[in-house]
Amino acid sequence: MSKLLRTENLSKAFGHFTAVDSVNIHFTADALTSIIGPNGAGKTTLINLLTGSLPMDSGRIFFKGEEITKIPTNERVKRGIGRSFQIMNIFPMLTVFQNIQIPVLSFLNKSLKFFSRLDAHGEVINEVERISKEVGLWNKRELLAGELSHGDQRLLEMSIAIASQPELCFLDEPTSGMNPGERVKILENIRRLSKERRTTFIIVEHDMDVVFSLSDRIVVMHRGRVIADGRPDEIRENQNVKEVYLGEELEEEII
Amino acid sequence: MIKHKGFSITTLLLLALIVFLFFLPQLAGKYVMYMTMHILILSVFSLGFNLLLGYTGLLSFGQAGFYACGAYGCAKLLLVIPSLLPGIICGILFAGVFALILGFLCIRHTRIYFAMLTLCFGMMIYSLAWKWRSMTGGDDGLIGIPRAPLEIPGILSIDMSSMGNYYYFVLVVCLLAIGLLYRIVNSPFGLTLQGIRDSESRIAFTGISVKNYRLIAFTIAGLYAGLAGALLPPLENTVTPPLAHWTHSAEPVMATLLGGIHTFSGPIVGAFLFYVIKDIIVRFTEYWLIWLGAIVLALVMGLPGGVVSIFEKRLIPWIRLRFGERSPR
Repeated sequence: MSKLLRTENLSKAFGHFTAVDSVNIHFTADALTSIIGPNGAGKTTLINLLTGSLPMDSGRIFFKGEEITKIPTNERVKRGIGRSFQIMNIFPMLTVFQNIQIPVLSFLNKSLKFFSRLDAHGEVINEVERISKEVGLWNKRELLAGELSHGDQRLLEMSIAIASQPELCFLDEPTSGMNPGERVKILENIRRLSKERRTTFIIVEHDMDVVFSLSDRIVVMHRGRVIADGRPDEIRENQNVKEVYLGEELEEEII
Repeated sequence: MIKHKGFSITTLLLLALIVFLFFLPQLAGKYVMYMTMHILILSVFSLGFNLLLGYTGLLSFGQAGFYACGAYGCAKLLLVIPSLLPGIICGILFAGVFALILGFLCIRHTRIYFAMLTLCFGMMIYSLAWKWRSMTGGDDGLIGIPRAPLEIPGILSIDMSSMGNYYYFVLVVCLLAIGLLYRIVNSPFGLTLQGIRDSESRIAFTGISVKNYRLIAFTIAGLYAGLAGALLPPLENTVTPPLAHWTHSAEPVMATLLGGIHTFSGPIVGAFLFYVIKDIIVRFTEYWLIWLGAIVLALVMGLPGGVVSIFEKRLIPWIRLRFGERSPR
């Protein structure tokens, strides 16, 4: 499989604390990958570096063979990298429809239309309709995003991320704070979207049930370093992971 | 939006208001016309300001600087070339250039830092107007600015010396400017600005360059402040440095807060209330600003969404109930 994104010695420190320590990692197309690790392992910082949300201290990043190390976030999105956030990040004062409309307009290069009506772009309307139906938010399209339930807000955030039609999409704890019903719904969406769309999802997740049921590949981080990388069954058997991260109780749970 | 036999109630009310404004010179005296022109000018000024505050989430305390640029730019040209249209265009462009340059420096920051930067740059323009005597007339300002005729060579020439004619000019220009801004805020660009207001970090992940969009919004707001300022010299025949003072920047802030920041019509309603309240208070006390401040404070605390929110939450639902109308999906 071709390497969609790869890093070379990626590092980031906050004062004396090294959050990401010389990470060399790659993500291949079509493999649903999960990044796991205890709190403070550097998972979210890694995503922030890869997406341009944080400046790195050293290292290089390549996307589809081209270096993107110094490219700003919005340009990385234009090249095909998307993300959702650990802490809910939507447009709360806009409707569900408008929330999805913004990235679609941007993707179709129509955001800088000053004088056209919002409903004048049929292809935008159709795409927003398609996405909101795909994720099950069509019936709630006229509600303000800030008034949605937590689960629907998570779905909306994922919709915003995929509306830019990314080739590689990072989902940072997509099921956090969800009840079991909402969790099932979002997992179904991730599975379906990863098959139907040409989007490779990289998921940061704490819930081991989610991780092992969903992933083709698991990357384990600890203290800013990648300590294991492989298929779910390989990770189950990895002694480092057992010692450092999973612990005895979780080990039993997985087995 | 409420529909009524093919037209919405709001559209009908708007048309009635426009018709009323066109017949105003026949119905009222010069003072009312004069006041209405000031309300229209403040409306344009405040709408531009609200493009930043209500739509982009940026609070600017320096808009009076661009207003003054428009006023001085227009006045300087009218003193050399007594033709109204070039004067107005010169004022708008002058303010626009200043807004583009200063915006480039301001939009890198948000919240209090942005507000303080705009305040500083506004006061720098005020100092220029005050100190650069050879250009601006210093504290005397520029006087004797003619209310030049509206001329388009070979097409029309309209004398503007009467207040009635100038009223119509201000009315048409302001209505066009308001209509244009309405189109802009309801365009893809306007929606994107609202996205920036709601979440700067999220919008960057839709492929939008936040700084570029902020700069465009800042420049448009500057152009609108410039237009408002440019309409003033032919009316007052003079421009003075206090136009650029930060206290003048507070006028669109108060008008917008009075009317409501999250509705397009809020700043227009606020501009109307601002002048009406001011006009009533000054009849009783010279400390009108204190009373105006107290009223604005009471209204903002009592009606966080502005006066327009009453119409949205009370009046329109009442009309809907009264006339049995339904809101279309």
